[in-house]
Amino acid sequence: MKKYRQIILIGGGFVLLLFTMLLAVSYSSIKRGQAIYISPLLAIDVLIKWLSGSSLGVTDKIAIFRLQRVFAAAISGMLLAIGGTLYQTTLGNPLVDPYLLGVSAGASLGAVLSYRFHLPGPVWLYAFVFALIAFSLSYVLGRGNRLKIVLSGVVISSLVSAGITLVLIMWNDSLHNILAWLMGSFAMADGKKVLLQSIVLIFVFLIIMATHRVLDIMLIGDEVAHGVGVNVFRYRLLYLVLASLAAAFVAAFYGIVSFVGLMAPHLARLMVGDKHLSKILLAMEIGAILLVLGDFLSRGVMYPMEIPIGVFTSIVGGVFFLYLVVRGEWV
Amino acid sequence: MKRKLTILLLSLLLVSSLLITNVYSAVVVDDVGRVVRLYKTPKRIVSTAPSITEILFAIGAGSRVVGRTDFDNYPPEVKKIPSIGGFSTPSYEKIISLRPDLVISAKSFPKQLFDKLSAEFPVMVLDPHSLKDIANDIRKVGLVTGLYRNAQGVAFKVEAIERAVRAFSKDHRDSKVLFVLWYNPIMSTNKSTFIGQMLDDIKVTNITAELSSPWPMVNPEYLLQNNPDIIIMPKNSMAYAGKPAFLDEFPWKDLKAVKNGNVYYVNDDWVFRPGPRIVYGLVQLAHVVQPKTFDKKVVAIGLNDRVYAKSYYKHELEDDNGAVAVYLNADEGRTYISRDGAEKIFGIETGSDFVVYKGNTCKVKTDDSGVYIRLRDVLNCMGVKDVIWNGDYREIYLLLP
Amino acid sequence: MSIVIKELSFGYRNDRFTLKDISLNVTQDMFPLAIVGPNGSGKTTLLKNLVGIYTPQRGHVYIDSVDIHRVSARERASLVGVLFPDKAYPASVPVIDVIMAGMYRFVKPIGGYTLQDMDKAYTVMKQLDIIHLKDRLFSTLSSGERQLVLTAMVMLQSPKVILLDEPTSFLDPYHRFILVDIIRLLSEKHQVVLTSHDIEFVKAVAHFSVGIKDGKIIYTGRTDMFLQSAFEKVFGIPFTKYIGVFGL
Repeated sequence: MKKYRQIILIGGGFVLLLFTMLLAVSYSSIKRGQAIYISPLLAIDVLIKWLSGSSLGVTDKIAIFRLQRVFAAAISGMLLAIGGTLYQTTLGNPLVDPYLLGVSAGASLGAVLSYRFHLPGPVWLYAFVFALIAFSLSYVLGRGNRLKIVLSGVVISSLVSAGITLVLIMWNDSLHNILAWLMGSFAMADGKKVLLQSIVLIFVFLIIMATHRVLDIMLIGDEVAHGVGVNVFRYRLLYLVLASLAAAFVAAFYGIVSFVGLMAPHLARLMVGDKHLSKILLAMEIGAILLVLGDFLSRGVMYPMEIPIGVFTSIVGGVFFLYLVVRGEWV
Repeated sequence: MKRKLTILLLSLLLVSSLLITNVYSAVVVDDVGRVVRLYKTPKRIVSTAPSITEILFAIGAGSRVVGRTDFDNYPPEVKKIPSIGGFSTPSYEKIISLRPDLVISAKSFPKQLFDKLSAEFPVMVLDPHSLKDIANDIRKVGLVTGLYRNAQGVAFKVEAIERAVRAFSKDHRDSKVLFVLWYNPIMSTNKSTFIGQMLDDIKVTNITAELSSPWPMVNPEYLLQNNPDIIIMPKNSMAYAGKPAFLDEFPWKDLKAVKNGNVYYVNDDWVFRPGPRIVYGLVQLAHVVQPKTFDKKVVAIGLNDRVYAKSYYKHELEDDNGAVAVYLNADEGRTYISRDGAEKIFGIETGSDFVVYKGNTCKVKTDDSGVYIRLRDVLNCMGVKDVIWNGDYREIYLLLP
Repeated sequence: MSIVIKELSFGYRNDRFTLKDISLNVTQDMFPLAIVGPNGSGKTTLLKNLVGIYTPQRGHVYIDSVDIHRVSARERASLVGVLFPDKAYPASVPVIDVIMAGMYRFVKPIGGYTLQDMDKAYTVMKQLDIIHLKDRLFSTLSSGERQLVLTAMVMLQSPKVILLDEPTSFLDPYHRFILVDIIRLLSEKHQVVLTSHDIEFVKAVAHFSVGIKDGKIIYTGRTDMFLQSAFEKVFGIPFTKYIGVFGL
């Protein structure tokens, strides 16, 4: 019985994701007629044209633009969901976010430095490198102990944030561009980024699916896992690195999109339980749906103005947690 | 608007009445409604924004500035003045160590610091939202420093140049303009900012004018939908390394403006700072749309005692403070200009009834006193065709080669 | 089957050792063995060193002459398993999955459980009478039920030595009662070591006792002897006085 329920939820989630993606590609405004309508057939047509390298008209380019954003949002949602699940399981804490161990602070610092000093090369490269440096520092500082790692992450994030503030107040141009980056947006999506993220996603996904039983065991507890013969140290390192990598590929490319990594695994667990095989699949779908929807709203609520996606994820996140508190459901 | 004018007039009245009694006293209502009172001429002024420093120097109070921010860069003399820190991070200690008798700040000054300072020193807050507001701010600074006449001159210059540019700008509402503040994400400006207003002055259509945020993020699709004819960008922040690379990417690559090479750069300081040089920005923007017109010098001359103003689009500093009386006289419907004034504005030599312009001598009519020569004759000699008379303000606008 | 602890010293910080130079030779006839001591004496720390969660700064732990800190995790799991009643996160997973975790060391890293594995699980569940809990979510169980589930898990794991950490702490009288039988059951196929300061229980199940205080072993010997001669040294109260109040 339980099995069927899970299959229905995961299958349904997939359908809902496809539907949401379709919606987000077809429309860029919630008001009729403001933005161009792109039918699903046209979208597929354009995709084929683009992949085969033929030239594109203006409407086609808009279609590609939306497709890139929608796929970027979907894949980012999946990456963050995976990152969040891995963090929550390995750290034994249902309230952690994959940005916890310095990834978001590091990415922000990299971006800020890149903008401030007009560093050569793309902004995301610096964001990515600094994100990983910050993560490594957090991990090394807090090695061995779940609690220590979390605390180290907080420490490193605070220090890095202080650095960011310092650079910001010594800014002598307008702050607009860096603030826009910090608030997160899929407007910065392009084909290359989507491709890179897809590769990372497949890589991480395969490893997790292959070792999902280990995750299930680690969830029960470090000591239990250790007792049964799991090399807790190695697996924790592996999962934290994978999760941070996944999260870094989102933060570096598109800025800081919060809450999704926290909410998606939670919601998935409430719906299908803690077994990672189904939990991660559903969490990925939920994360993708949340971000695709968020991106659509970013574009659509006040077209042609873009509202940073962080606004929507924070609102949803806040409501979600309120709901949890009211219902008293923590576990 | 009316309220501000009334306040200004009352302040003026107060000052003039006190001048009679020979006791210096200045009372000004600043841009946030605070009443600023001074009982002696301020000799040590701290400025907390680059625009304020420029205003002080423009009205002749430059020698009295004892403190400025890190970002002040104009005029070059400011480098010698000690800095009090950054825009949002000025140092309280540094400010009080300079023993100011007046602090002028912008609205973005940190509140805590502001409260502390205003308890000890007179602090005036400026917060202009239009070019007219900038002009009035210049007047307020003049009032409070006892340099009202100078300030009036500068203020009139700002207003007059704005009017002149408006007068010479033909209707280009079918020209769609996009001002690009940043490219990824795309950020532009709406009609409430100085730039937005200046785009309105030059009578083009700003495609992001109606958006609700002053510096909105714009969906790239909108650019393709709306395809602007002209793209304008601030040079320092966008083109520091030459032609920006992003113009070769989506969506810029497909825009008319990029394909036709209609991408223009303006000086950041001129268009963002609410100071006297805002008019340079205005003329620079006007030049983008009407290059042939605004290649020439824009000159505004007011009748009777009004001071004149002159502005180029390409030179950094190419006018004086306008504190020269030009003396135009209207007599039987004809306008006469004083010989001194003509020499000063037009750079010509004058004789009793002739003028010499680039080696050419032309005869001119004079009035009975012989001090004034007929403006029309001078302009003919110089080959100036672009002349606009503004009856409401009793000003003449010229475009000089 | 023997456990040899050789000059083991361990501290959470390098300047202060919780376990000081502990040596112990446990032979076949000493099981079930109880490690008895007051709070803070180092019982649980010693246990964690015995199962490999901690690595001692000095000294070794040999189970059947194998240094447990020098082998792979899987191999170690074949030598020693552990039950921590309070250290299991109440995950929303079915009980059967928790129990099957015990099979981890037998299963290839990328692969699943076979039907035979499931059969073994059923056998164990039957022995512990918890088949009715099979599909319940682990998070919904009482502490006594959880402990039974974890016991089943360790049984499936089938290590040579099973360590139990304060197994009676969270048990109601019923579960405490059946735990005696369970330990007897475990002792058929495994060597059982438990830490406890539940004197009645120790007396009921443990053949031998090791008294530990301030990180040092004070007494090793038969449980009844321990209670008579070493109880006071370990707990600071004369045994007779203790019985006088609590009975036994």
